[in-house]
Amino acid sequence: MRTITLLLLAMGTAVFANTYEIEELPLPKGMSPELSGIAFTPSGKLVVVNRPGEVWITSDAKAGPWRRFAFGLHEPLGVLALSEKEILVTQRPELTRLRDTNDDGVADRYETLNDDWQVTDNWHEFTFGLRRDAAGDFILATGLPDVAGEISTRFPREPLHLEKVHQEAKPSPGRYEGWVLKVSPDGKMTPIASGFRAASGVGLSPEGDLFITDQQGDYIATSTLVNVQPGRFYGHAASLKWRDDYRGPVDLETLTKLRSPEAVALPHGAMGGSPGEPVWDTTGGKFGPFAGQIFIGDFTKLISRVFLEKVAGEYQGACFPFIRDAVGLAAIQANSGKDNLTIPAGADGLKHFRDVPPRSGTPLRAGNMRMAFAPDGSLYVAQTTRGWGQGDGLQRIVWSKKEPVEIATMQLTREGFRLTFTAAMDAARLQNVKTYRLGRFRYLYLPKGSPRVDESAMAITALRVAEDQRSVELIVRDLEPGYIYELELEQLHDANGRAVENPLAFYTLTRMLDGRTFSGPMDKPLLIAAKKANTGTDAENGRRIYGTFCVVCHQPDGKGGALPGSPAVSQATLVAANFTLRGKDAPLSKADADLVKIITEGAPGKPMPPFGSVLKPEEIRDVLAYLRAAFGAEHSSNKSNP
Amino acid sequence: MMALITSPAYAGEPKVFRTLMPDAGPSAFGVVLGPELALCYDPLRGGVNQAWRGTLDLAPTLRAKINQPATVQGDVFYRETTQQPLRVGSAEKTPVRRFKGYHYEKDAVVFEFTLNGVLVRETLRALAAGKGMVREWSAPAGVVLYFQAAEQKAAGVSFSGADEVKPGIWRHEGGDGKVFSMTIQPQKKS
Repeated sequence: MRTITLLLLAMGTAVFANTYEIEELPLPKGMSPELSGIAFTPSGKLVVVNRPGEVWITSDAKAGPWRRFAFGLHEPLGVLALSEKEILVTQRPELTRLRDTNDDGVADRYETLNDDWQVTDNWHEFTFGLRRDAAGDFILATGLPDVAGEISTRFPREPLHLEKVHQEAKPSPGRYEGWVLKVSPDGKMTPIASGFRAASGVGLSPEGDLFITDQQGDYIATSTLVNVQPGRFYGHAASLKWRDDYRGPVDLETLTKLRSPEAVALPHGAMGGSPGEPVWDTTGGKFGPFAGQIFIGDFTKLISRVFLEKVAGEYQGACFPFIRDAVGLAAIQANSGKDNLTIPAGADGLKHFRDVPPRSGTPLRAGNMRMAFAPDGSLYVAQTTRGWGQGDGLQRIVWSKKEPVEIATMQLTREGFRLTFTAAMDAARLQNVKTYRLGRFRYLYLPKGSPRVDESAMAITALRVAEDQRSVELIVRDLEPGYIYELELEQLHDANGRAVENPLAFYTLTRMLDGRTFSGPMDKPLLIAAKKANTGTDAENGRRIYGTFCVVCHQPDGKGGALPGSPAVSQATLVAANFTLRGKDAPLSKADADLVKIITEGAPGKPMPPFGSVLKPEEIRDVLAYLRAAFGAEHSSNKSNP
Repeated sequence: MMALITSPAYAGEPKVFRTLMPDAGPSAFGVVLGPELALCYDPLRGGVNQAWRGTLDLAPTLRAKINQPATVQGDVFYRETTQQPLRVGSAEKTPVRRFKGYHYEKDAVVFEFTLNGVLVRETLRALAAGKGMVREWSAPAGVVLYFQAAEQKAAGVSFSGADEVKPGIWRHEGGDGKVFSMTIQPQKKS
């Protein structure tokens, strides 16, 4: 048996030989692994910052040693190393220049370069960044506070504006909260653009174009990659009040006209939950065939890849999964809450959470908020998850020099999309229309955010396959702007039989080649949802809800287990969390009415929270129907709904 | 309880942590001046909010998604609540204060800020054997600083380099090498 097992393991390794390997980089004792910023000095030394506020440097991340350069910073989330002696960090309240003036390898001067924005000590007032543009200016972004925590009004530098006049969930009480800002080398701040919710990722393209990732929630229907242009407004209404031309609240129609769209939408769920820093592959081929493309880490166990093109003068393009771990689903769902409206996104929901691609070896952790390419072309990933699941540390992604089979680019054409692959593909599959499953959907622009709406399947009327079998144009019926086009490849492999590793893509079609944009309503769907034929329970809907809210604790197999962040779990809790148990103490031996009560009100004395304010009564009944169907019900006489 | 982070370069020296501090403005400083002396330095209110014999527990600031302020571990002997007690040019007018940073010196930490655009340095240093602390201010030549001293119940306070122009109002004229200092010593409990 052991021989067979080893053989199967060897076969598995051979089948799923990774094109990109993930390496674990050990951190020294005494360094908090909550890494929240990463950079390289011009001489190639690695610099990281962590949430407790330290800056560490090493010449060799594998062997060490590490040296602590600074400490005592307030939750730094960005770092830029001008040299080993001069490092800039974004702290919550300021942009700080750290200097080692006595050559002892430790910063002795902590200089406030700029603090012209104002924070209140709310837990969600993150300050993000940091990048430096060609003019030498530093670029950072400020987040909005969250009303789930205190907004301190003690000793503000100037009066706070706590009002929420645009139905936003997150306010902007301090000046320039929810903005992207620029700071000159001599400390002068210039506000660049507004309308951000939690712009966690700041990036500059090799051409010097500024991009920001923003995170899904109120007003931001799904996470985005935005090309930031001075003076523009990108959707979240709270920060508008800090514009010079602000004259008071405006209605949704005016906001819609003011709002500039994102370059690429990162559909919530399928393409993660909270994107981090975008980094451009400038390795000149050391990282594989994606030179010039963008990699974006996500809070979930996902790193995505983005291809951009300019259409009618503006950036738009496609995103693809790059590396994702199936267990990332739990991390996504651990982030579920009232403001996360679309997890899992779409009718097919959970299908997107499989391993993409199947991997062996070290898995990707969660919390991939900060990344940087090393001089050797490997991608360093700094991870932090505090309070949203588990997974902190440092990993490195190395191209194994095996050619990946991927969709290299997805470009808009006059009649559809052109897919270009990294390899010559199997001719028969490439020219078979059944290989391509194309659909589209869009998000509304609403204060509360938006689920996917107007979802529909798209007809591919023809294929134009290139002679070299490396690209194909999909001719699409009813190609229209204003939608995100979702493409999934079915059983497509290259000429050598290797399957496409990430057969999923989303193209954000804001503009057609002729510049035409969507002219319909942004506050309501075009398609009216069909009503259900009966009023009974919907176990399939229950499955999706289970996948969103329940699976983190109860697990996909219903057997429960350790709760996130709670290493010590009582036996009673484990029993309560395990739906596969049988007997009088088993959770599913309870009557439906009792289970509905527990789901609605929570379980006293146990970690089970109440969902009565999150789920509708019929949704709770749907969940119960799914539990009975999936994990077996012992008391069929208890099937009546309360 | 989380142990304080130690720095090889500054073991035994003052340590400054910017974080959530109790009863302070946003992003204030927890300062450990020595093994038995710690304080909260508030860059927005303007100065030392409180000082205590003991140390600082940073664990509440680090535990979770929504964190709490650090906690004072010890007996508070000095409190200051006046908005901008250090003023420039006039004892009556609250100045505009902007924080500029800090640096470490031998056995001391030096905070820098501007009052109405004038650069002022405030040096914090522990007295030997846990006997209290000294605050020293310095300003450019010709600049007049005023400090509104609050009455203390658990500390003895003395000033040097300044004149008491009104009860509790101290005046100092800046200049090269001129320093205005305030010594704060906890009183023994009766």
